[in-house]
Parts: sequence; structure tokens; C-alpha cells
Amino acid sequence: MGPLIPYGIINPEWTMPIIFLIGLGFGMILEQAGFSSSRKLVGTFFGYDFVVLKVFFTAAITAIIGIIFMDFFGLLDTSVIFVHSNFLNSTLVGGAIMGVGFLLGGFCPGTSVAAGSIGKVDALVFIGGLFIGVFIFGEFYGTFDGLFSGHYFDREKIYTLIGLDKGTFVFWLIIIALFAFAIAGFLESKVSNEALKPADVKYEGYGLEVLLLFAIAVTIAFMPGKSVNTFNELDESKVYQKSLNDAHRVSSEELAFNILHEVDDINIIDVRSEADFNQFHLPGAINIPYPEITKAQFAETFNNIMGKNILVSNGGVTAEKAWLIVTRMGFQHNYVLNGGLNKFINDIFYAPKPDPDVIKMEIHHQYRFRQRAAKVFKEGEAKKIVSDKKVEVPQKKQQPVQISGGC
Amino acid sequence: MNSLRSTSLVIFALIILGAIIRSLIPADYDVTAEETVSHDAKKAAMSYLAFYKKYNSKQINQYQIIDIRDKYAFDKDHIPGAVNIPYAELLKKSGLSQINKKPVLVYGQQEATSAAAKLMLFQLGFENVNYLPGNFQTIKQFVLEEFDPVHSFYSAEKKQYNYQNYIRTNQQAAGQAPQKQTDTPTETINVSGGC
Repeated sequence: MGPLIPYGIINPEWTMPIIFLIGLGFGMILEQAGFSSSRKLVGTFFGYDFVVLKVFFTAAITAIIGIIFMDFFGLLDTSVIFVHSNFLNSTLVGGAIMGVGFLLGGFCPGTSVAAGSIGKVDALVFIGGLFIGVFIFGEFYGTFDGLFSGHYFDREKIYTLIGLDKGTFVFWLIIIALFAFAIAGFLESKVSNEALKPADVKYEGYGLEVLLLFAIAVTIAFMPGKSVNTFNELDESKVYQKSLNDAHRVSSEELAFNILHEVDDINIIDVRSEADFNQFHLPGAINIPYPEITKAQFAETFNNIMGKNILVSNGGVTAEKAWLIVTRMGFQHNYVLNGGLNKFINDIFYAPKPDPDVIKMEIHHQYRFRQRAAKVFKEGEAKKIVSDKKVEVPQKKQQPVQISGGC
Repeated sequence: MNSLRSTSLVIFALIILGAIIRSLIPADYDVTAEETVSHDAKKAAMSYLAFYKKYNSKQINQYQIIDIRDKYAFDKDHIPGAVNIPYAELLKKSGLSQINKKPVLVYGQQEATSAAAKLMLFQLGFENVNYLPGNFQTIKQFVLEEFDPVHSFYSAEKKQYNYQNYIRTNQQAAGQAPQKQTDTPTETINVSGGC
């Protein structure tokens, strides 16, 4: 099912409003947690208040547990989630600058905005400094470039670097978090600064929470990697039912008509090898070789919500296989060119002239269409030809989109 | 505050319980889509040459040959020793129960359908499944009646024409025919922000 935007459940145009809402929520929670007070924030460094550590560690653990379980239940395709590349040098230097700035200024960037929005002057000064830093970095980007992109390693995850299994790594992370919370609590009680102590409602004890979190950690450590079926997947009987009839097959004439009329919502996907594709491909076709169709980067292409994908191969066999797989993966509106390019050429260019005695007009129309199509294809002028069939091709009307914001 | 606490505890307990139950439910497929594709891309269909050799040396008896055409076509003519399971019944209980542990060889009316049958069976856990390229007519013509070495590696998937001689794309034709300039309506997006 997820991520919601790549899988087309939420329209990409909603990205900005969603970001705005999440930002509002984030700011609200920062303020709620008391993060607009710089005294509370820097408490971590002086040992009287570890709320920053607790909140961010909790957030990280919650997110990890959520992602792992949603992946396991098939609700989230983790291979589609964007992961930032790693640049070690800039991370180290940036972290050091951030730490020193945090200690001196009493804010980190997000909390400074939260505090600034409730009118704290020191936070506003901090935000001003932030923009000066951005300006310096932007102006002298060339000088910093070596540092900025130094020690690049691609999307490596910590557990693969250490050589641990994902479940085991998360298990230890949760154990570390539990110990960190215990140590933080101990330090808080030692360092006395009563005025700044968090005025939380005290539980009798955290025994149950610790026990449950430990149980979750153990579950994650022993959970099988991933179930075979993901949420989107169709089970085999449904794929089989769909493959029984010819509804997913497109005739040569239909494809020719669509190419010649340059119908917008038709997407030709060539599943042959790259070498074959480079030698020849139909006008407007894109290449996704058969062994690569399950790659996450093509999910959006196969999930053509607005139009039709037509899978093409030499004889239609590879295209049929590719169709079975993408249909299993839950993508709709995919079709196969029946008989492939071989039948396409044969149908269009070697069409036998029908017997003039044949009464069915469709056959004569089809023959005439084939002849005209052949002529146009040969001349390489894939422009308008008018078919005898009066087929209404739905043309996308291009309306100017106007988004106006108000206050 | 106490109700919040107990609610969250119950939710956590439910998640753990769900994970345990979920791992007990058997999956529909035995292999993932990725594994299917990578296996299938490596293992090609059985060539007519290999089939001919096995057919002559009676090694073919080790295989269970499945004819997935309809009953009428099967009754007319079929490969000796083949079992008829029409594609429409292949995945039903009546069809699957007829397939035993032997390596399976599928052929049919169309190569695309034979390949589809192979893929479906492979995803259901039959590891040793293969299919014969072409259709029954080509198998009969090139192998059964008289083996034709020219067609040792016949496949409907093979390129039969030099496509580029038939269809010229716009780039190729650019040198010969003057390109017409057409005005395409441009989409105007007007985004105006608030204050």
C-alpha cells in the first residue's frame, strides 16, 4: 500500500499541503515538549534535563519499530523509501558546528523557529544567524565543495556496515535506548536544579513499558525477514483468471492507431534487452529490460493510473511474462502487444488483400487502415492519418491550471 | 494519563500478537516476484535440439509432458505420452493434482501461454518446470515428423524481420523528409501564492 505517493494512492500535487501540515504538527509538538525554552534544551549538556535525548531517541525508536512492522505486514514497500546518500566529512563537520552552536545559542534550527514563532528574541537572533550561515555557505560553495562531498559512500546502512542482521541491530538499539533512559533518569536525580526539573506526572514505575519494549525488541530480532506476499500483490488465482482471456492483449492495429495518432495516455514499454532496443524501437517507446521489471524505480511507470501501458517484445512471449509479473505486483492498466513486433510487422506490412466478395465491411476497412499505416510507417512521418473506422480517441484537454492561495 | 498509558500498552501488545499471527499464515506464493524473474531470465525454454535428443533417447520419459491446449486439439494430435490439462484448468485443484514430482514440460497453442503456464507453476513452488517454444504445429513440423537442424533453437520470440527497414522513427527520417514544425499548445500553470 505504501508509500502513499509513489503508489498513487495520494496525488503528488498534495505533497506541499502535506508537508505544511506535518511541519505545523512538528512545531506544535516541539512547543508542547517545552523545546522553545533554551534552558530546557541545553539541559542535556549540563545534566539536569535529558528531555531532548528522550524525545529524539523515542522518535527514532518509534519510527524504526513502525517501519519494520509495516514492512513485515506488507503495508510499506521499504525499497521505495528515499534514503539520503552519506557524505562522511560534511556530516562530521556539520555535526560539530551544530553541537557548538547548540551549546552557545541554546537552540537547534527547528526549535529556534518554534521559539521564534512565540516571540522569543534570542530565538529570532538565532534564526538571523542561521540565514547568515546559509548565505556564507551558498556564496562560497565552490570552496567548501571538497569538504562537502568528501568521503562519499552510497546509501550504506549502519547495520550492513557493522555486518549485523537488521533485526538484531534494532534489538540492540532498543536495549541501548532503554539503558540511556535509565542513565538519564539517574543523572537527572543527581544533578539538582529544582527550578528547571521537568514537572511530569510521575508514574509509579516504568516496569510494564520496559517489559513491552523489550518484548517488541525480541519479536523484531526473531521476526522472519519478510513475508513473500506484499500488500499490493494479487494472489495467483486472480492473476491466473486475468491471464485466461485476451482482455490484456492489444492488437497490432490498435497499437498502430495509437502511435500514428500520438495518443497521449499510451505508454509503450519495450521489455527487450537494451541492445535490441537501441537497434530499433517503436516511436515513443521506453526500455525496461525483462530482468529489471521488479526494480522499485520502475514501480511508478508500471502503475500507470491515467492511461495504458503496452508491453512489447519480439514475439510477445517475454512481454506476456513481464505482464504476469507486474500484474502479480498489483499494477493495473498493463497490456501486451499480441504476437509482439513480429506479428505487428506481419499484420501491417504483409496484410493479404481480402476477397472483394467478403461482405463484412470491417475487414475491408482494416485492410485499408493497414495499408495506410504501412505507408506512413515507411515514410517515417508518424503524423495524422485518418482511419475509416470512426473511433473517438479521448484527447486530454489541456486546461490551464490555476492555483491561487488566499489568506 | 492512566487511560492513555493503558491504551498504548494494549496497542503495542496487539502489534506483537499480529506479527506472531502473520508469520504463521502461509503465503500464497512460494517465491517472490524478484526471484521468479531472475530465475526465469536465466533459465531459457528447452530448445528443439535438446527436446529432440531427449525424445529419441527415451529420456523424455523422465518428464511429465503437459499439453495445455483444449481437449479437442489434444484428441486430434499430441506429443506421445503427454497429459492434457487445459490452461483454463491448470491452476484448479483438478489440474494441479495431476502434476506429480517429475520435471514438468509444458507446450501449447501459443508460446506466450506455455511460458505463462511455466511461470505460474514456478511461482506455486514447482521448481523444475520448463516449456517448449513455438506451438504444437511447429513442434510437430520441426521435431516430431522430421528433425530440422535449422530450427534447433526455434522460438516465437526470435526476431523475424529487420524492424528498422519497416518503421522509420522521426529521427531516422529527419535527413530525408523536411520536418514539419507544429505548434503544440503549451500548458500554462499559474501559481500564485498568498501572503
